[in-house]
Amino acid sequence: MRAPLALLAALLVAPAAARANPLDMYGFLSRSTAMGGAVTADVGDVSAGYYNPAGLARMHAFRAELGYFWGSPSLATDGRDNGVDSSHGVVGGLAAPGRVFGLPFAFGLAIHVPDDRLSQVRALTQPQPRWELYSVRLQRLYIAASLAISPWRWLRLGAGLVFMASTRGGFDISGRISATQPSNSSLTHGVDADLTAVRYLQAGAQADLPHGVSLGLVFRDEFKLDTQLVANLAGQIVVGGINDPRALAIPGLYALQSHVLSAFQPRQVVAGAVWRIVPSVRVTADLGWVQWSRYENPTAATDVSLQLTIPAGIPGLRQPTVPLPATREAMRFHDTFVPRFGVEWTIPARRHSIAVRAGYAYDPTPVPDQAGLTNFIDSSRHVFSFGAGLTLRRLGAALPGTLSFDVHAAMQVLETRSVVKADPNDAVGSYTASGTVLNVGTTVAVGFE
Amino acid sequence: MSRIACVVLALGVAGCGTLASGAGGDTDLPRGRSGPFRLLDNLELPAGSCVLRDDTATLGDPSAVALPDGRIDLYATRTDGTARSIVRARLDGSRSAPGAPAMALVPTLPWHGGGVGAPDVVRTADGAWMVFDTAAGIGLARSVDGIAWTSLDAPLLVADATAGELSALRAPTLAVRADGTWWLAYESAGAIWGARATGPQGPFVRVDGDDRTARRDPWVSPGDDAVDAGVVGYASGSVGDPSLRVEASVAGRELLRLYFSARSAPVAMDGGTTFLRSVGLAGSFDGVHFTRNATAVLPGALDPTVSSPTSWNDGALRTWLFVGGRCDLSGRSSGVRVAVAPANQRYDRAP
Repeated sequence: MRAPLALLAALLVAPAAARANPLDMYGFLSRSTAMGGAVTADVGDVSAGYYNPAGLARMHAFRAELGYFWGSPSLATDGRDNGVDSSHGVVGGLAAPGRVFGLPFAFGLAIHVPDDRLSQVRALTQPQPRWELYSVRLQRLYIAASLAISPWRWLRLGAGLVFMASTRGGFDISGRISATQPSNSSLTHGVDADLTAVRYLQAGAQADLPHGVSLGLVFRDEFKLDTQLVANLAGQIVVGGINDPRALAIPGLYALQSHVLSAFQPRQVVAGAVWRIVPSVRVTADLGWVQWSRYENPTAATDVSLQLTIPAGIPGLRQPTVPLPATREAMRFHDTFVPRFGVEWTIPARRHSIAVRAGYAYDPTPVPDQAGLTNFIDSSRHVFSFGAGLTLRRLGAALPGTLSFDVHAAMQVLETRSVVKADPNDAVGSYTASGTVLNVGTTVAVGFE
Repeated sequence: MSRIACVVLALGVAGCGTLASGAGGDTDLPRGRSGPFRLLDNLELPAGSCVLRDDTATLGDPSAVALPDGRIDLYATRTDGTARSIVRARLDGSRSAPGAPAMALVPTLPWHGGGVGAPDVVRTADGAWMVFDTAAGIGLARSVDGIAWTSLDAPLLVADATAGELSALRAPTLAVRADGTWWLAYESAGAIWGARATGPQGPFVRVDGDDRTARRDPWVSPGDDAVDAGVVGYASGSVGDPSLRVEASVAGRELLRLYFSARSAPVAMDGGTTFLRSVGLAGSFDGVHFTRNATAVLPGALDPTVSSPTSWNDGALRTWLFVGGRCDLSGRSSGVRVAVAPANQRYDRAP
């Protein structure tokens, strides 16, 4: 037990190096992804760190998994590909079981490390069309640390923390700006950035019933990732030579405060079941509730103020008006129910085994009709997934446990959706949205005895 | 412990050295293709600030017509003293330099009076139709090739004071909708009016732009919709020079776009003698009720003479807007300028 505890301690004191969650969209590790993500009641590998931490208590020996996935969107409006970023990176984790007070116990670590960018924040204007649930939202680093216990043989309970980072920052500029000779302006600036940790809870349970049936329940809490920027510009606007004491100098203060919701994960509750029809065949089903209705408008909320001290006796020179902050539209996203189904057929081959998997999920879009100012593009998804796995057992003294290779391919097919604007002068106009997203990946797992 | 350390190390190493590519998701996003526009300058055009000019006369009131081969026929009013005629030039693209414009239509009939001008051309499968204005009313001409034109013997439509048209009809524009109806818009008394017919030769039936009132209303009327106190609305004085285009979204919804010249009420700060000119846009889904944009799509800040817009979509999510304007800062030479939306891209000078 010393090793898992040491890892847990190291994780809790680590700097806030974790961000948000792309796994909702693409799944986590090949076996669970190939089964359509319908593994809440069934998961018993490292992916339990995401799908249901209670599943960690299924394991009886240390297990490490490492994989890679590539999610490649082809999302288009009016038939033109919008070039939405792909998401790809290393996925993996470990599970370390043991016993506490005589009860089975396990620690799990799940991690997704994008190999393109660890995090991305974009602030877009409100009417700017964007594929809201793709692109930026999926460019995240994810780390989850979970604990699980099995108080009775038929029941497993688990809980974990997922780590995020919130960004606050600002800069100050002061000096003299020459209105007539801008290149001669004299300015100094300072930048202050601060990363603060955000954590959210996930918890779950699995219960075994007779006849090869198990039930599962998992809860993932909501998190919001805010980016705040404060900028202050204090100085003088100089008309004339920058060092000319006779030049007209107008002291001024310009302050800007911007707040952007750069990531949001809705609260989720997922219930699932698995039926092991025969030892080699199991079917799974999940139904998830996703609380998208609390999604806030991600458009930057900006507050600007300007104070100029204009010397008396200069007729006609007035302080310009500062634009009022734009009214942010209500998002009106709605909650969704996401059904998922999976099937796995395991074929024994002497002491080894081969598994074939398939899955399906229907993920209705939470985005309402975009007839007004906003253009959050999305459409309901049908997700078809397939996969296979090879598990080798007792390969010798160096590896007395198991060595598994799993692959998956999943295709999201977005329903074609027409966005019809109410205003004939709408700057974006009416359009259609459609697309597919291919997700492929592989996982290598090592299980020790 | 060493196994765990190896795994953690591998994950950590894999996460290092991340090099981000450019942020994606911005390619070919949908746009209304309706502005705001930016005037191209002489660094983006081959021959000064205008794409069409005539050193011996003034050119204005352009009408752009897309040809099947991708080129553009640009018609314009040529004003030489008091003589008005209609000329045509063929452009390889929105920024190409055409040769000298050729005469397309000159006043030949008695009702043409002193001249013809303000053309707007529609091409159909069986030829091309041009509406134009004269002192007597709106005229119609026909051509099989878009080069040689023959005017009808009588005006297509003349002003009717009982229908609200208190001044001569001018600057007509013609469009055909998907249902085969022909729609005519024109300027009179500082507003834009509409009429429709089953064919280009009429008879055109006047359309009421607001059936909630007893009188006939224009499609677009001037109004002060200033959003910032102290600044007059861009269309608070008058509207005119309409250019009507029928577009359809990918989803199949038909949309009528009406570009027009806008003139503000006199600006008070200089004693009430100056007004602002710009180009505005109104839209309609039903062809009856038009909604005017709250802001100008082409402000007259860089060229206070912009007027008489006509649009052309090049199929690449860009809209080009040809307008009358000045070809030099002094304003001594007036011709046809071009603006583009989206406005955030600059272009190399065309060959």
